[in-house]
Amino acid sequence: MGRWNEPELEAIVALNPDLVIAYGRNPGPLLEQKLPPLGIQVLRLDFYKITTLEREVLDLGRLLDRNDAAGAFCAWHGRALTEIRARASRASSLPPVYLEGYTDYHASGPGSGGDMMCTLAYGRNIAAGLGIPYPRVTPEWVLAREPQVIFKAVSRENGYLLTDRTAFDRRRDAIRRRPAWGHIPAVASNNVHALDSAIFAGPRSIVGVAFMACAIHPELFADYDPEALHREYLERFQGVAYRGVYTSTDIREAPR
Amino acid sequence: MNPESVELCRGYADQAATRTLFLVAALMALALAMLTGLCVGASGLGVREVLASLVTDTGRAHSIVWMLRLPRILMGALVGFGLGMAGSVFQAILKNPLASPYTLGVGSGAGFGAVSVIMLCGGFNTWGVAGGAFVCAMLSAGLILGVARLRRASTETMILAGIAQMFLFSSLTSLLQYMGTMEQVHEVVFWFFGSLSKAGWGEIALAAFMILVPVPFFLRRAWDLDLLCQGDESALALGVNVKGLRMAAVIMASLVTAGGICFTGVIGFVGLVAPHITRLVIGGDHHTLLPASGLVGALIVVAADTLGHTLWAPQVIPIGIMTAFIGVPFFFYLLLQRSREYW
Repeated sequence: MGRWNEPELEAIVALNPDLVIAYGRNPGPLLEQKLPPLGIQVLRLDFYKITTLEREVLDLGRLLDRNDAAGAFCAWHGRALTEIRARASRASSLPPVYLEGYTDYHASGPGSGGDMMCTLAYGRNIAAGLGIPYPRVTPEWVLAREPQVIFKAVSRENGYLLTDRTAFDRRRDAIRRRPAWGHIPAVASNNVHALDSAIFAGPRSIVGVAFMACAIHPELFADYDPEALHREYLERFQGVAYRGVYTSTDIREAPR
Repeated sequence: MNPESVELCRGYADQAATRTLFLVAALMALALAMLTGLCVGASGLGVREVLASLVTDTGRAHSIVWMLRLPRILMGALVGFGLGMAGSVFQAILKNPLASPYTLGVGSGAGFGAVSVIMLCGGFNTWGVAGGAFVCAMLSAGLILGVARLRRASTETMILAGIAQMFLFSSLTSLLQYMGTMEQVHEVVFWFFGSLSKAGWGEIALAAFMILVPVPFFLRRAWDLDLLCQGDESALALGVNVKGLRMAAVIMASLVTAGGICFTGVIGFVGLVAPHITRLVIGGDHHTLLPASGLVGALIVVAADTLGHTLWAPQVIPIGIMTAFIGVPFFFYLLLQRSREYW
C-alpha cells in the first residue's frame, strides 16, 4: 500500500486491517498518528537485524497465535547460527572484510545489518570503527585496509526469479575492475562476491551469514552447504519451492 | 600627454597589473592545491613517495597516485574550470548576477538524464549515466534555444524558459526517484551530491575535449561579451550580432557544463560564485575574467575535494556540499570588504 516510506493510508484503511506492521523507523510517526484513532493498531518490527530477529519472530508468533511456528523457526535459526559460529570460531584469525552496500563506496559500518552478519561469520569488518552505520569511504581507504574478502549487496535483481548468475557476476566484476583495486588481496585472490539483498538483510540473513562464513573461512566450511540451509528456509518456513540465484560465483569456490 | 591622460594610462596599467597578478596567483594557488590533493590520502603515502610514484612505477603507490588521486584531481580542476568559465559566460549573456551554468536548466536536464539511465535502463555504468546526463543537458539547452529563437533571444525569455524547464526536469526526476528501489534512490541521491572518485583517464579525456574546445571561442568573443554587458542596444550599435552571440554562447557554455557534470554529478555553486569572486577582485573585462573565473572555479573544486577527503577521513563529504562550504564564506568576505558596486 503506497511505498515503504510513504504509505497510502486511505488504501490501508479501506482494507480494514486489525493491525499494520511496519519497519522500526520507516515510515515515520504518521502511522501512529493516523491509524489508531480509526481502530487500527500499529506494530513496529524490523526483521533485518539478525541479532534481534528471533525475538521479533516470537513476538509476531504470539500476536498471530502462531507460537509453535515462530518457535520452530527460532529453534532452526538458532541451531544454524550455532553451527556456523562453532565452525568459524576455529579460525586462527579474523580476516579483514569490506562490506559494500547498494551504492558504490558505501560501507556497512557499526550497527548495520552487514556488520552484524560479518561479526557472526567471524570476519573483521574494516568499517566497524567508523562511527556511523553506512559511511561513504574512499577507494584509497579500502585499498589501504587490504581486505581479504569483499561482499557487495545487490538489490536490483529478484534472485528468486533468476536462473543464472550473470547479474551478480556483472556487479562483482565491476568491483574487480575498479582502478588500482587489483592491489587489494580480496581482488587479487578473486575473493569478491555479490550477495542478493534477500540474504544480506531480513529473515533470511542467516543464509547470508552462511555464505559469508564460507567465503571468509573456506577451509572450515569445505563440507558445508549454505544452499541446503536456504532450501530448508524456503520450503519449510515459506512453503515455496527452492529456486533462484542469490550470489555471484559459488562462494564455496572461493580460494583456499 | 595631458595629466588626465597620464592618470588614465596609469589607472589602466594598474588594472592590467592587478589582472595579471591575479591570474598568476590563481594559477599558483591551483597548482599548490593540486599538489596538496595529490599528497593527501588514506594510504598514508609520504610526499617523497608520491612524487617518486609520478615518474617511476613503484607498484601499489604508483597505482594509487596514477589511478586514484591524479584522475580525481585533474577531473576536479577541469570541471571547476569549466563551471567557473561557463558561469561568467551565462552571467554576461543573461546580464544577470544570479545566472549560473544551471540557470537555464542544464543541470536539471543532466540530472534527469542520469536518473533516467539509473532507473529505466538498469544503469550503474559510469559511461551510460554520463551519456544520459550529457544528452539531456544538451536537449535542455536546445529547448531554450528553440524558445529563444521564437522570442528574439531576449534574456527574460531565456531565464523564464530556463526556470520552467528546471522545474519540469526536477519534477520528472523526483517522479522517477519516487518509483525507484532503495538501491536506485541511493545511487541518484549520491549522483546529485557530486563525486570525482569515479573519474578515469577515458572520462578525463572526453571531459577535457568538451570543456576546453569552446575556450578559444569564448576568448575570441570576450570584447563582444563586454559590450553585451552594457546592454543589447549598445552592443547592436557597435556591430555585435546579439542574437547570434547569445545563441552560440548558450550552446558552447552548455557543452562545457554538460561535459563536466555528466561524469561527476551536479557540483553546485562553483559556477555562480567563482565569477563573482573573480569580478570582485579584477573587474568585468572578459579577456581576463573568463580564464580567471575558470581558475578560481578549479581552485574551489580541487580544494573542496581535498578537504572533503580529509576533514572526516576516511569518510567522504561530497564535493557538492564542500564547494558551498568553501565558496560561501569566502564570497561573503569579499562582498563585505568591497564597498563599491561591482556588478
